Formats: sequence, C-alpha cells, structure tokens
Amino acid sequence: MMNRKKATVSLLSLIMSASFYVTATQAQAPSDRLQVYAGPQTATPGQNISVTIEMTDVDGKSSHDETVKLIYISDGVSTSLSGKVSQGLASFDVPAQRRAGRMIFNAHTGDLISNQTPVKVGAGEPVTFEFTVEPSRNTNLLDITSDVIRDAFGNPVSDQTLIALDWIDQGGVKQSEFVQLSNGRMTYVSSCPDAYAAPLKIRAVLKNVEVFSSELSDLCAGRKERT
Amino acid sequence: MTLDSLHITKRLPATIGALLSGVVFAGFVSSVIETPVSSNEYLHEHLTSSASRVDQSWEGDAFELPLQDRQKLATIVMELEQPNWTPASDSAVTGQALTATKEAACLLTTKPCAVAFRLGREFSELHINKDLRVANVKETSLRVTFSSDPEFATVSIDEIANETRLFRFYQTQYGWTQKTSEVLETKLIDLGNRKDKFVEKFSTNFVGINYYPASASWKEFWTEFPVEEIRLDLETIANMDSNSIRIFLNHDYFDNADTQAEANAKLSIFLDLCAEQNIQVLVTLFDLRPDYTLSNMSADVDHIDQVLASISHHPNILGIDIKNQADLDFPTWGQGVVEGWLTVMARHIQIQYPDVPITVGWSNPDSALGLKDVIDFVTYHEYGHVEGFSDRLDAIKTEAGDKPVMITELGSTIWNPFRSTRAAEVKQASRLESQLRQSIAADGVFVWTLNDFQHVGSDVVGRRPWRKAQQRHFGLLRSNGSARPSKNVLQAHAENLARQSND
Repeated sequence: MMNRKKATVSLLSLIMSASFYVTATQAQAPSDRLQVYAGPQTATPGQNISVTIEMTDVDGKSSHDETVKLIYISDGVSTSLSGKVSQGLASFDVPAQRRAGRMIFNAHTGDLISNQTPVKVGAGEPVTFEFTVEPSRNTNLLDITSDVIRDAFGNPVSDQTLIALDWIDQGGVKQSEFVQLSNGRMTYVSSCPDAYAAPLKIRAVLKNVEVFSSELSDLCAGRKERT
Repeated sequence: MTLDSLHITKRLPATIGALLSGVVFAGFVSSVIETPVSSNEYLHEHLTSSASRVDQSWEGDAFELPLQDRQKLATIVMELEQPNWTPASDSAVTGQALTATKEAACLLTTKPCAVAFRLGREFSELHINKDLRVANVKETSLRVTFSSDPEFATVSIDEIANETRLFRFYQTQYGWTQKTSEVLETKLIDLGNRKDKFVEKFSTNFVGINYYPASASWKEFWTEFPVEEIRLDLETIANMDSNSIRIFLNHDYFDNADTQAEANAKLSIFLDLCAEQNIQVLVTLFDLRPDYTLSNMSADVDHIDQVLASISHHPNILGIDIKNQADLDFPTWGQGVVEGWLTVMARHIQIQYPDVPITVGWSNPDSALGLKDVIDFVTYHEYGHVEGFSDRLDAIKTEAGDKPVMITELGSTIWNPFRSTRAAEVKQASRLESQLRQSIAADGVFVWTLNDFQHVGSDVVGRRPWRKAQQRHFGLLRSNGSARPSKNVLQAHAENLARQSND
C-alpha cells in the first residue's frame, strides 16, 4: 500500500505535468494543417456532436494514416480520443455534456495543435414542472408562478422558451396567453375569464410537457356561474 | 466522298478545254472564297463554356449528402475546371484547391499550357461529417490532356488516363467551399494488343459498297428510310457476291433527342436486313458534323454510347468508322485537335465496346497512316490516278504492320459534259477494273457507290451545280436501276475472291 506522503507527491506531479501540458499547448499557435470541425453548433445534453479533424501537409494536401488526438472537456472532465486520418479526415461522435455551457474541441498530433471549435450546449427538454395560482392583490387577477424549470440534467430551461397558458372550462379553451420565462421561472399575472362553466383550470404547455393547475373556480368565484 | 476527292479527267480537246478552263477558273475563285481560313493552333481557340454543363452522376445507393448539396459540390468542381477560369471574389475555392485550380488554368495565349478534359465523371461520397461541416468527395473520370505550344502553333493530345481525385469541401457562411483537389490514382489507358481479337473477323476479304438508297441519299437516307428499296438494294449487293457495305449515320438525326429513338430503331432494322443477306456493315459515325470542339467531347462520347449501346453486339457489324475524311478538317481545326478528338472517341469505343474494331476513313493515301497506333484497321480513300495505285497500297501495308488495310472509297463519276454517257461508263468500268486488279494486297475494297442519286444536298458538296451532278452519278447502277459495266467489274472481282476463298 502506498503511503500518504508518496501519494501526495504523485498527485502533485500529476497535477504539475497536466498543468505544464496545458500551458505548453496553450502557448503554441494553432496550425492551419490541423483543423477541427464540429456540429451542430448548438446542442442539447446527450445529443450527438459530430467532430471531424482535418490534417494536411505543408502544401495543403491530405495526410493519411497519421494518428490524431481529439481533446475536449465534458462536464469538467478533460477527455481525449485518438483516431487515424484517412485521406485527411478523422471523425468522432461525442455526446454533448450534461451541463449547459460551452464545449471546446481541439486536436493535436506531434507538434501540431489545431484551432479551438466551440459548441454551445443548452438545456434540453424540460421535465415535468409545477406552478401555483394565487389571488393577486388586485381583484380578478391571479398570480401564476413556478420554480426554476429544469431539464433532465438540472439545467434551467432557456428564457427564450415560451409557455402556453390555456384557461379551460367545461366547454373547452376559454382564452390563451403566452408567457416568457424569466431566469427559468414563470412569473405572470392573469385575469379570470369573464364567464365560464366550472370546473375551471389552467393548462400550461412547455415543449412536450403539459401540466394542469388545480380547480380555480374558488379564485374566480364572483363570475363563475352562467345565467 | 467529298468535293475534294473527285477525280478530274485531263486531256480535253483544245476548243472545249478553253471553255472548261473558264469553268475551272470560276470554280477556283469560288473555292477560294468558300475555303475556311485556317488558323494557328492555340488551345484557347478550342475552349468553350460548354464544359460547364453539369452532367454529374453520383455513385452509391444511400447518400449522407442531400441532393442539393451533391449538386452544389459538383457544380463547384465543374465551374472551377473551366480551362480558362480566373478567380473571382466570390469563387467557392480556397487553399490547396485554389492553387491547383490556378495552376491548371490556361490563361495566357503566349505560354505553353495543358488542359485536362474529363469524360464520364462519377462522384461518390468518401467521408462526410454527419453535420455536413466538411466532406471528402471522390471523383472518377477519363482524363484527356491536351497541350498547346504557341511558339510552334500546335495543339496535341498528351495523355489519356483513368483518374481518381479527392475533393474536400467545408462549410462557410456562404455555403460549401472547395479546399483541396488531389489526384489519388492515375492509370494510363493500356489496351494491350488488340489484333488477336479480330483475326477471325479480318480473315474475310471484304468486297463492299458505300451505300445510300437512290431515292434517299445522305440525310434523307434515315429520315425517309425506304425499306422496300433498301431490301431490294441489299439483295442486289448480295447477288453480286459483295459481302459488305459502308453506311453513314447522320449526326443530327442520330443525336437529336426528338429523333434518336426512331433513328436507332431504323438502324436496328437496317442491320437485320443486312443479316438476312449475310452482309457485314461498316458504320460511319458523326457524318456531316465537322465539329471537334474539345469541350464538347463529353457530349460526343455520349452520342457514341447512344448509338452503339444497342447495336455493338450485332453480328453484322464489321466495324466502326469514327469519322469520314476527318483529315479534310485539318486546315480548319488543326491536325492536333482533330487527331486528339479522334483518339478520345477511339479509346472510348475500345474501352466500352471492346469487341468492335475501329478505324478512321482517311480521304487519301497520304493520310492513311494517321493514328495507325490507335485504330484497329487502316482505311483510306483512293480517288487518285490509277497509275501507282498498288505502289501506294503496298507502302501503306508495309507501314501498317499487322493491321488490316482497306480502301473504303474508290470509284468515279460518269458525269462528264464532254463525253458521251456510254463512253463515260466504259471509262468508269475500266478505271475500276484497273484499281481492283491492283488491290490484291488490300483486306477490303468498298466502291463509291451502288446507286446514282436523285438528289444531292448543298450541305454535302456545296452549291455548285456541276459538283452536285458529278456526285449524283457515281453509281454501279443507273438511275433506272439497270447495271452499268462497272457493276459487272465489281461482281467479277467479288466472285473471283469468293472462288479463291472457297478453294
């Protein structure tokens, strides 16, 4: 069994060599001879990213049978994949990281280091969410709110996403509204329908997720009965 | 048969001679006016934009590249390879491909250069990034390289090779851009020695006739196609013990999309009629089409395929004469261009239809050995003096080595305003008899022609009426179908050869 002192030294040397490597590669200018292409440029967690390394000689002609290494960081973990170029190209399939953010791909072989090619990873499809409906301070208005809505990996759903809110009574959809998220949350004030036949609910639809509120007749009591 | 190959009789009475000299002078002036101005041979003069035609074809059953991307990539390649391409700011090319394209362009008329034409191009996907960021595309084609040297005013064919190339494209904000253009493999065409393939075919001594029906000559042969008249003519030819004919496929009729199906059907019927009479057919392509535009070669190869695809295995095909009297086009088009074009057509046929022997029907003995290393049998036309006929043939036989030699046009017109018809017919027969007697060394002779013609178009021999009259009266048969003495001469020759063959 390795003693604690030796283990500490080993860990330290590993960290130092890793940081030296990173420093060395960062200091080196990218070469036109090694290019990395990756797409799609925006991906969702787990989605396949197609990465292709191109390697040429000094005249721009395709290299063949050379080993290249693809390097990227996924969810904070540095990863490398090796492959051989065939007529100038080597391709890899890389799953997008779970955490929303950017993945940077680059390649190296021998003394050559490539450009850096970013791929933006956004939130995926939301998992189910909840929202609450409460009386507002103003009459006939209701506050509709939710917690931060997240995808399966915990990433907040983009604020660019719209939620469709439908007021539904016994006869169907009474009125519809669209709400834009703010910092991943829904914060919205809506007014009760002019007239409706109980039961009355709100249906919230976000991408493929559909969620219903509880019965709201009590919150819109003054106007609930048709005559 | 063309206007330049008519035999002109000498020794005229003085009084008539003076009259004729006036006609000859008028003819000379007319021919000077009509003769195309020959030019020096510069490659640029043979380059047209027609090469940009995107006649792409993609190999494979399943494609990663959508159709519009495949079309775009092929279009980029085709456009960049215009021989006189100059880079524009929006050219979809960069890097090594740009360098290669600039080097391949033939921009200066004052410098030697080479231009590659590519036929039968096929593209295939080699390596495609799944998000279509970058793509390797492979191209296979028959590369034909011509070179031009302005100092000597010559164009010549350099090399024919099967070539595989690699193109790489990547996506920019403007779309696909070509980045590399690399040769992966080049295989020079090596057809080996083809003579063994045709030993049996050329063991026959061919006695043949150039053929058009009397009522439908040149273009009209195929448009009118008088089947009963043709059937009777073929019977006549067979009854003469003649075993072969030479025919001409009018290029326009066989190439036009509206008529080519009909043309091919008629050709098949014609070959079947010949089969009934056991007559072999030497088929002449590209008739009445004096066009050797190098960038049209791909379309010309397509034309060959369109004609030969259905008939190349017909047992009554003697061979293919690629072009009638192509040497007469040397002054206008340049010898290097014409020979280069012929070489490409020949190689295409030899590769695609390896069992069909090919030739070029040169207009005279002096041209007979043109492309002798390319063609499978030597053919030329004899309208010169009877004296020296066998010497010329022997010299050609010697130079041709082991390749068969045939005289695919000989004969003479009986039209002569200064001689009676009977005397002219006797002279025609006498001349033919002398020629045939001297043709023993030949592997075949083809007389021009079976019939007198009711009509000869201006597009065949020009507008001059005496030219048309001469051309209408070369027949072994008179216009009423009766035999001229020359028919009996050919028949005797054919019977004699048949007898010798049976012995």
